[in-house]
Amino acid sequence: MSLHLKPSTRLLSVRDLHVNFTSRWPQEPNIDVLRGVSFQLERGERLALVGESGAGKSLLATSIIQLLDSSARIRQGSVHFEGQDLTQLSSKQLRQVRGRRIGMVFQDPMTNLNPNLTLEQQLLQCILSHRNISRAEARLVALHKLRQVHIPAPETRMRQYPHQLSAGQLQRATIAMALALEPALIIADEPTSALDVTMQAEIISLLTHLCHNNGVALLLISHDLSLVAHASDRCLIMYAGQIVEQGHTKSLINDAQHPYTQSLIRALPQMSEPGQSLYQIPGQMPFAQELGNQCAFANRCEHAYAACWNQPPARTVTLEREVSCHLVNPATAPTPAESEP
Amino acid sequence: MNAAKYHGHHIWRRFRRQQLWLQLKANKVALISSVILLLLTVTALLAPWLSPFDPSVLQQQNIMDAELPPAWHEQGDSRFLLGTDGLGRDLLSSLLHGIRTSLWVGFWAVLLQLTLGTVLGLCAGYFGGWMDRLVMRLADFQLTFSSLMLAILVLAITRAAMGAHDYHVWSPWLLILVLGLADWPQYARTLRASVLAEKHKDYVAAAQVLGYRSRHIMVMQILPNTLSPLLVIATLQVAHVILAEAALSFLGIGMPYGNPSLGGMMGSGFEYMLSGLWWIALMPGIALVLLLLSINLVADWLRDALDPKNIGPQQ
Amino acid sequence: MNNVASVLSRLITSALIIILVAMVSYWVLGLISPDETRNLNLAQYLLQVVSGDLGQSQFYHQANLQLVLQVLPATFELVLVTSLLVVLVVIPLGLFTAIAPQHKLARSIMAVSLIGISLPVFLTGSIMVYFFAVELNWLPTFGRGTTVPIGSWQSGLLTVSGWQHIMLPAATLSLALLPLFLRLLRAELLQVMQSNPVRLAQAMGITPWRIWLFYGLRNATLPMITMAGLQFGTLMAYTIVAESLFQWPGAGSLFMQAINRSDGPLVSAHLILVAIMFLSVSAIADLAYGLFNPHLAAWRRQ
Repeated sequence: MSLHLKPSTRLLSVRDLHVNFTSRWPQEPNIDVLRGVSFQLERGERLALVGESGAGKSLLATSIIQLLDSSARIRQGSVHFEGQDLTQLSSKQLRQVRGRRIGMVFQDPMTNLNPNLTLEQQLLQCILSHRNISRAEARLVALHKLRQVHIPAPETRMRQYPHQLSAGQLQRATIAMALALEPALIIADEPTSALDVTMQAEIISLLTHLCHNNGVALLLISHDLSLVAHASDRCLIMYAGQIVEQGHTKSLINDAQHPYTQSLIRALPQMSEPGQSLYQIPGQMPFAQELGNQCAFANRCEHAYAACWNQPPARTVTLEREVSCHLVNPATAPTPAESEP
Repeated sequence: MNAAKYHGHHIWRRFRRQQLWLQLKANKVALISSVILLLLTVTALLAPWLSPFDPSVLQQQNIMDAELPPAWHEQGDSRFLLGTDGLGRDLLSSLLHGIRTSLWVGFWAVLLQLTLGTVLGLCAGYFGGWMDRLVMRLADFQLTFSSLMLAILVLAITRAAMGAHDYHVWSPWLLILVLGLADWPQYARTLRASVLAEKHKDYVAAAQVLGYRSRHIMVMQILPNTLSPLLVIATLQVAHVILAEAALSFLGIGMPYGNPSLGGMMGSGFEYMLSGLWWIALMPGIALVLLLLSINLVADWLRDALDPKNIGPQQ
Repeated sequence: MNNVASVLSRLITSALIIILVAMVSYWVLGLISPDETRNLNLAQYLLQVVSGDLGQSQFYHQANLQLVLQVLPATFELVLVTSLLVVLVVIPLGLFTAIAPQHKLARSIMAVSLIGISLPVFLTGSIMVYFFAVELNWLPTFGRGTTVPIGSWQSGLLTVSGWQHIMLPAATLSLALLPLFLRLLRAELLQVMQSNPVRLAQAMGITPWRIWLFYGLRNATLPMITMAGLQFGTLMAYTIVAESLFQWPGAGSLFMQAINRSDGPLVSAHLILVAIMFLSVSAIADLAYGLFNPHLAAWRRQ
C-alpha cells in the first residue's frame, strides 16, 4: 500500500485473484492458473505486465473484464474498477463497463477484426452499442478516432474490409476502436506481437502517447521486457500465475531483486556482448497442477535453497517494491552457509 | 499430456482397454440405441424363422384377412399382431423381412462404397497430380449431385429401358451397385487427407532416398489412423443407404413388389392411409425410423468416442 | 478483364457439360425407345439440342420443352415456398440453439432434429396427410388447386385454394431439409461465437443482438450458401418424392410418368434440363457467394 499515496486516484484494484480451469474429467483436479494476483492501477498510469507465455497474462486481462472461457472460473478475489467490484456485476452491467470504460486491444488484428464487415461498420457497431446517437454522428466520431491513430486517408480506409489493410493499419484501427468511447483504461494484450519488428515501437509509442494525451490508463501486456521498458511507469513481473515482483519500471530494471526478474534482464539481447551467445533461463515453467508447497521458480532458480522447496514465498513490501522471494524476505533469507550451492 | 500417447490409437487397442465399453455404459442414449440396433439386426437375420408367415408364399395369404387392424384394436385378429395389408398379408412378417432387406442392401452397398472410396482416396493422395485433381473433381460433383438423385436417374432409366417385369429381376442387385458406386467421396476425402499428412513425414522421404518402397509402409501407417473416421462414416452411410433404398422403393424403382421392403410397403400403404387405414403405411414407417435413428445415434456416439480430442484428461 | 475471362471459361465448361449430357441422353433415348434413334444419328440429335429442340413426347405428342415448361412453375413455386419456410424457421432456431446451447428448450430442439434427420420424406408426408387431410379434413392432399395465369406462368400462389394445396407438400419438404440445415447453422454459429472477432466484440461491450446479427449470422452466411448449393441434388430428389406423394403436377411427377410409360424422348429431355438446372444453380450459388464475400466484393469494385 506504500506505493499509493493518494487513494482517490485509484482506478483499478485487483485483490487476491484466483482463477482456475475446471477439468472435463471428474477424476482430474481443477487447475489454478492465477494464484492470488494483487495489484493497483492509478488513473492515467501506464502499467506493464511482463512474463513468459503461459504465465497467465492474457487470462489476467480477460478476467479483469470478466470475459472468461466457459471452463475458467474466478474462484476467489475481487476486481474493483471505478468503485465497483466487476466480479459481482450482472452481464448487463458489465456491458456498460466493457468498451465504454475499459477498451481492449488484442494480439493479432488480422484475426480479431470481423472479416465480413468494413472498418466503418465495426466502429459503428461499437459506438452505437454504447451511445444513443445517430449513425452520421457516430461516423464522425469514428473518423475522428481514425485520424487520431494516424491512419492515412481515413475516409476511404473506413469503407474497406480488414483484408484490404496492412496489419499495422488494422492494429491502429483496433486502437481507435478501443479509444472510441473515451474509456478510463485500455488493456493491450501483446498488441505488437503479430506485427513486423519495425512496426512494434511505432504502435507502442502511439498507444502510450494517445493514452497519455487523453488521460487514459494503460495496462500493457507483453512478454518482451525491452519493449515495455520505455512505455510504462510501473511494471509487474508475472510467473506461473503469480506476480513475483512489481515496482517502478526504471528502478526495477536497474535493481531487480527477484531472481526471475534478474534472469529476464540478463536474457535481454542488449545485455549480451556482440559475439557472445544470448542468455537463456534454464528449464521450463512448471505446470500449475505440478506445484506443491514450494516457490514456483525454485526449479529454475540459481539461488534456490531448502526454504524455497518447502514453502511458497511471502510478499515482501518495501517503499518502492513488492517482491515474492525468500531471499529478499529478512525472515526467511538464508544463512551464509545455506546460500552456498 | 496423455493425448499425444493416444493419438495414433487403434480401435481394437482401445476396445481391448475397454474404454469404448466403459464410454458406452456411461452414455444412456448410445447404450439404448445400440441395444435396439442389435435387436433389430438379430430379428432381421432370424426373420425367416421368427416371422409367423412367409410373405412370399401365396398360399398363406387370404383376401378375407385383408385390411385387419393391429391385434390390440377391437377389430384386430390375434393371428396378426400388427394387422394385415390390402392383400391379407401379415404386416409383422413383411416388416421383419423388410428390415432384413434394408440391412442387407445397406451392408453390401456400404462395403462397395468403402472399397471404392478407399482405393480412390489412396490413389489421389499418393499419386497426386492429375489423378488427385480428377478424383477430387469427381468427388465434388458426386457430392453436389447427391447419391439419391443419381440413383433415381439411373434406376428410373434402367426401369424404363427394361420394362417393369425384367427390371424387378435385377433391381436388388442394381440397387446395391448404384448406391454402392454413388457414395464414395467422403471416404476418399478422409483417406486422401491422411495420406497427404503422412506423405510429408520424414520417414517417407528417408525410405525413398534409401530406395525402399515407401508405399507399403505408408499404407500400413495410414490405414490404422483412418480406421476410426472410416468406421464412423461407414456407420452413417448404412443409415443413408437404407434411407435411399426406402425412398427408391417408395417411388417404385427400388425393390420389386414381391420382395418386402420398408419403403415399398409404405408406398403401397399410402393409398390405404387416405381411406383411414393408417397402420399399413405407418408400421413399416415406425420400423424404418427406429432403424435409422438407432444407427444415427450409434454413429454419433462412435464419432465422439473415437475422437482423439475426447480421449484422456485435458491438457 | 479478369471478370470477363472467368465468365467466358464458365460458359465454355457449361456448354461442354451440356453437350456431354446430351450424348448420354441420346444413348438413353436409344435404350428406352430404340425406334427414335433409328432415323436420327448422334450428330443430328446434338444439333437439335443445340438449336433448342428437345424432341417430342411419345405419349403426349407435344414438344418436350413445352411440356416441361408448363409444369416447371408448379415445381418452382413448391421449392420457393419450401425454401422460405426453411429459412424462416432455421434462422431463429439456429440462433437460439447456438446462443443458449445448454437451455432445456434448445436441447430438446436438437434432440428432435436428430430424430428429424432419420425421418424419411415420405413418412412425414404420409403422417401429415393422415392428420391434416384424413383425420382433420383441413387440407387437400393432391394437385395444385386453382391457378391464375401471369403471362405464360400459371401461379398457384395468388389463390386461397393454391395456398391450401401447397401447404402439405411444402411443409413435408421443408421438414425433410430443416434438421440438416438447423444442425449445420448451429454448428457454424457455435464456431463463430467462439471466434476472435466475437471475443473482441464482447470485450468492447457490443450489444448482444448486434453480435448475433452482424458477427454470428453474417459470418455464418458464406458456409451456409456453400452448403445450400451442395444440397441442391438432395432437394431435387426429395422434390421428386414429395411430388409423387402429393401428385403435385410438377417436373418430378412428369419425369416419373415418363418413366412409367417408357416415354424415351421425354426422359432424355429431362436429363438435359436437369443438367441445365444444375449449372444455373451452381452459378447462382457462386454469385450469391460473391455478393456476401468481402474478398470478392472488393475485387469487383476495383
